[in-house]
Amino acid sequence: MKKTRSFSLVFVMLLALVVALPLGGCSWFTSSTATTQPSGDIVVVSAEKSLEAAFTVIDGFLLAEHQNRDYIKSKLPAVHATAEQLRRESPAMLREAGDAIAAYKAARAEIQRDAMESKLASVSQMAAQARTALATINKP
Amino acid sequence: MQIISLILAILSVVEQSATTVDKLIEIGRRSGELTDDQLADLRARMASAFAAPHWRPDSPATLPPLNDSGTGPA
Repeated sequence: MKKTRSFSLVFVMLLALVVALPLGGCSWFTSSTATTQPSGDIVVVSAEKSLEAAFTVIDGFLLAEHQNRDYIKSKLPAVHATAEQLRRESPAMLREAGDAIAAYKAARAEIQRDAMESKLASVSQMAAQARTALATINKP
Repeated sequence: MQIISLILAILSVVEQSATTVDKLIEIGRRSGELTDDQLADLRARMASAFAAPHWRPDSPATLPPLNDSGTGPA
């Protein structure tokens, strides 16, 4: 009887250990890496995605235009003009949008959020110009 | 000759568009904020792209040459 009781006790302790170890291990693991774990601020997520997408679209358009520069310059001067404008103006805007996101992430204050959203609006507008110009080149 | 360059231009643009769309899909799949390192990496990628040939304008915006007295455009 005593033997069965101690066996049950050991069994329960082992079971607790088996359940607790992975959980404890996980929480220890996540807490040790939590400093770099991103939070889910939708404003930031959307801002970062917008910045990355705008950069990708503008970069793709400028590369396509550059690879066919002579042809586009002679046949599609408006597209070339858009590319030139983006080359001159978008680097500063993209840089400033990146700075604004970093500033908002550091402070999480409304004033930084407004500044960030205003920069991203300009950047998104430039990306829209790039998309339209890319579509113009694609047009048969 | 012109038809060939037109076809080549369209092909290169289509290829570039496909690459761009792939990258955009990848961005869309991500949920959650970038870590500080990832944001720094994105900004570094942008900075290095700005130095690439396709980001360089034909001619940088320059002021017209000055007249002899240096008081206005020639």
